[in-house]
Formats: sequence, structure tokens, C-alpha cells
Amino acid sequence: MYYICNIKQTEMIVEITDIKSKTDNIISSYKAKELSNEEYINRLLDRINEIQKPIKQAIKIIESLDEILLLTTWAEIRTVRDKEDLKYILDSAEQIHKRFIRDYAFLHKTLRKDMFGNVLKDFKNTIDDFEDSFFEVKNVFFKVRKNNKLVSLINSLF
Amino acid sequence: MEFFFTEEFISEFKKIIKGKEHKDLESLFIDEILEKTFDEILYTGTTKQSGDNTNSLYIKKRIGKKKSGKRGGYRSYISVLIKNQQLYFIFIHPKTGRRAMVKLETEKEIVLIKKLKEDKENNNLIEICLNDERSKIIDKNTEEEIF
Repeated sequence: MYYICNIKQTEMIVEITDIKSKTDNIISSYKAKELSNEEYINRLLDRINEIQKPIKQAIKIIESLDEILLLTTWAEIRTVRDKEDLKYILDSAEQIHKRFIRDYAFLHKTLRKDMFGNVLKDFKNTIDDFEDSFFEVKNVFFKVRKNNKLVSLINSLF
Repeated sequence: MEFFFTEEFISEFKKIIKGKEHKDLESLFIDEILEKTFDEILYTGTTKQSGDNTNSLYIKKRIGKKKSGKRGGYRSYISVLIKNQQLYFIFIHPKTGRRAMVKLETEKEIVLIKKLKEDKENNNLIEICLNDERSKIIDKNTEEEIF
């Protein structure tokens, strides 16, 4: 009985100075790990940049592909082989465009617009430009240059 | 280089810049056409529609600056006929907005090119250049601002 009482007594005796000291220790440890508001924002911006990086790389790739696709209209298409190469380029462009759309749809659904709105908009506009170029190139090869009236008018203009 | 506008081109340009979102079209045109070299005009964002460099060349050029985060403004497409570094602008249309057009139909292109031929024969084309500040497009003969 005494033993129990003794334990009870020991448990109940709490020195306020100990609590003060422990409180100080805990608060100090929090303060040591605490980030300033600026650091929180910098870390957030770093994370945003990290997520944006592959999207920005994709934009550059699509822009390069866009310019290359437009260049096909400057190439001479004379032989059967040239025609096959052109068909290959157009088929590849059509396939990769579908992939771009899928990737954009996923990112648009997944990423917060208030943080990634601008880069998503850039991504979408770049895909739209690429789509325009694709249809324009097809139009040149399969419509404009097959229109004899238009071609002979251009050739006799000056 | 020499630059010529048809009346149709000027008329369409004026209609486009009436819209708020396209009010900077003139400065865009200056930056991306009039301040560029012949090769830059020819081979950047351009499709060769038909013709060749020695006789007459018909191209379509895309303009519209890419400003990160501010893009989506607009793209415009310009139809140009070229002969010996003389550039004849026959049509312009934006991709978005009030005067938006997906593409210029071939029948309309034929009409515009025929009109260019006529205007050239009758000396009805307007040769343009930049003002001294290089901020406005002016009629080379009268020095009046076009837009």
C-alpha cells in the first residue's frame, strides 16, 4: 500500500520549472525548424517550377516540330519516294498530335489552374498552332497545288 | 525589299484592329514583317502555297508573338505574293475574335489574286514603309499613316 502511495506521490509531484524548461525546449526545436514566409513561398515556387519544367520542354519540342512541318511545303516532291516520305511525316504528325491532346487533357484535369494556368494555356496554344500547321500543310499539298486555276494564275501573275 | 498593300488588305486590317483584342496588330505586323529580313519573313512560320522564287511565289505567314503566360492573345495569318523581294499583301485574318477565320477559301484566294493583278496593271497598289520613328506604317508616296 505504501509502495503504491509512494508511486502515486512521485507521479503527482510535478515541478513547474521542469515544465517551463521542457516548454522552452519544444518551442526552440520548433523555431529551429520553422521556415520564414519567404522560404515557404520559395519552396512552393521551386515545386511549381519543377512540375512546369517538362511541360515547357514539351512546348519547345512541339514548336520545333511545327516549324519542321511547315518546311515540308518548301520541299520538292518529285519522286514516289518523296511522296512516301511526305505521307510518313503527315501520318507521324497526326499521331503525335493525338498524344499531345491526351497529355494536355490529363494535365488540365490534374493541375491546379491558379498555379499552372499560364503554362497550361501556353501548352494548349502550342498544340493548337501545331494543329493549324498540320491542316494548312495538308491543304497546300492536297488542295491548293491541285487547283490548276489557282496555280496557273499565280504562275502568270508577274 | 518593297512592300505593297491592296485595298482589300487595308480594308480587312482596319476592320480587325477595331476589335480590342487586335488593336496591337499594326505593331505586331511591324515587328514580325517590316523589321525582318527577307529570309526571316520567308522561312519562319510560313507555308509555301505555290509558285517558285524565280517567277512568283505565294506564301502564307503566321504572325503573333509568343509571350509566356500572356499567349493565347491571338494568331493572324497573312497571304502574300512575292516577286524579286517585292511583297504584295492581299489578305489577313486572325484566328480568334470577331473577324476570325479558320482559313482562306481557295475561291476567295483566286478572286484576291485576280484583283492584285488588276491593281498592279492599273497602278492601284499602295507602296508602304515605316515612319521615321518606325512605329507606324505609312504610304510611301503621300507619307500618310495607313491605319
